[in-house]
Amino acid sequence: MDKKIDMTVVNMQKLQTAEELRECNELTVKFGIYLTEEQIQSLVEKRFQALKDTGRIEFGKGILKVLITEFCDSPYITQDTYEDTILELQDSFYYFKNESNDRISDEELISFMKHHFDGVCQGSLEYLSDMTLEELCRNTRYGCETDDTDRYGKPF
Amino acid sequence: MNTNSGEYLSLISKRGLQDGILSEEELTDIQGRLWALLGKRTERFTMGDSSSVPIETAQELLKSICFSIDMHLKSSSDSISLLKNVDMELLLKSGWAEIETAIATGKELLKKAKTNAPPIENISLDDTLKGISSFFRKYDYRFLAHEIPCNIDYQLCHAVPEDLQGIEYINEYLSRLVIENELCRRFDTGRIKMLLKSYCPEYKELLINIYEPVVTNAVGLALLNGDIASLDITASYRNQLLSLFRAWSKKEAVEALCKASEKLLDSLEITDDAEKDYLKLAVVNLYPRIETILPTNKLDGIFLSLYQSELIEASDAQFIDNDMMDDEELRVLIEEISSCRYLSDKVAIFKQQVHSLRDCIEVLDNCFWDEDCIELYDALDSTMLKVLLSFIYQKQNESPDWRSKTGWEQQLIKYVSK
Repeated sequence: MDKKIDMTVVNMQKLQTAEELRECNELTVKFGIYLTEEQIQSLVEKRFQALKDTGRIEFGKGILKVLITEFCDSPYITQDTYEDTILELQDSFYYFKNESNDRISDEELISFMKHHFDGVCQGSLEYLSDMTLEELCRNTRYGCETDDTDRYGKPF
Repeated sequence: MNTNSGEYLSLISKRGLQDGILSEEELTDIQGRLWALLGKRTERFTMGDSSSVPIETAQELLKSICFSIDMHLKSSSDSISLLKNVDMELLLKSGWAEIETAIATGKELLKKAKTNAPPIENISLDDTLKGISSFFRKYDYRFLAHEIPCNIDYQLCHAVPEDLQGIEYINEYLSRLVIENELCRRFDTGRIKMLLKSYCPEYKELLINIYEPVVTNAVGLALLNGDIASLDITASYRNQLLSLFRAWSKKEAVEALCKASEKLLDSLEITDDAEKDYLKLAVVNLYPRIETILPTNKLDGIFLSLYQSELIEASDAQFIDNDMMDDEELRVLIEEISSCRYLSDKVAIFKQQVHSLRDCIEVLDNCFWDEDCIELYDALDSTMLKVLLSFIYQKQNESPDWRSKTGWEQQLIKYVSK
């Protein structure tokens, strides 16, 4: 594939993603968060940077819409932190797809991220990335089950 | 095959662009459709579980798509028109059909390679044949058509080009292996084993090629008008070959080798063109090796003598022969042994009555044929066998073409080489 076709495809994907993010605003506004046009463009650009940084390639519309739909009702996301959180989640998502050797499906990974972000991590992205997702990927690689409970054995 | 696997697509696109058959826009359109197909195949590969894949995975899937489409385009006369007008998914499916045909051919070739393999123990050859059997189970041509999911250790005389991929590589490898096996089967297995032992004492374990030393010795014998079937290049033959190669210029030597290969093909009654070309190439490739070694005045590393076992090596032991029987007595003994109904009786009489080497040779020359000899050699002690081997050696040095009437000496050489 030469660079020309790469650029055409990338441009098409960028337009598609931007359009999807605009549509997402209709849903997220109910939770008091939305993306400005500037933020949309920034997220779209950074999607390709995240893919490049993690050495991955995406053919469909991308994961941003799914992330937003899943995380928009989180009590730990506010308008001030919305863009940065989604960006961070997107980076973590691609990073941990690699770390799990692609053994976790998109849906499972996002649902796990949401569950722990709202639960044990209490909105901490550092906790989510450094502890929970690391453990998830380690367990996935070694075929172990993830312990989903707190120190008292109660599920979050 | 003129074009490398997986590169045909890009090659014809470039050629089409140069020749003006394909415009820039059409090329972009082809690439766009290829990209869309890659997206679909990736989705199928991840079974819809993942919207993204590592670049390496996408590259492998793209290689597989290109390989499959190439398989179809190669068999068509108007590839560019197909690329321009036909749906990529349809081209891919046609490519799969070609691959399925190639797989069927490959399975036939594998069967043939297994049945015509020379009965010579070689771990790498056995493992390779087993590996290729597993290839047909593991080969996933729908996603990874360009891969070769098996280990191939056995070294061919002419290696398969590394740029061939997937089933094309396997079929080419098997075709070459069948050619090599066909030639080796034309020679006595015992002699090939002795040659291999001389070529590489651990020939069973190490990664060696069986065909090459066989062809080398056979062509050496053809050059000297020797007995090709014997595969044995004695020290005197080697000296003759050395004198010939020293006297010839490079052109003359290559011509002589080519003539010798023609002679070899005639004497082995090889008619298949592929087998002929393969052998000729092996013979021509011999010259650079000879040229390198000529200044040392030795051809030991190229033209080999058959391996002689420890028994043969120790056959220079001195002994004093007993007196020969009277001629009439010997005639009676020969008649008696010849008329025996059971082999065990023959052996018993031999052991009881024969007490001199010269009598022994006479009896062997008249009474023991082919497999009979084995039972006799089992009954004789090692000293006697050494003496007989020593006799054979002496005879062969005096006249290299010497053969006994009954072939007992060949049986003995085979017997001690086991």
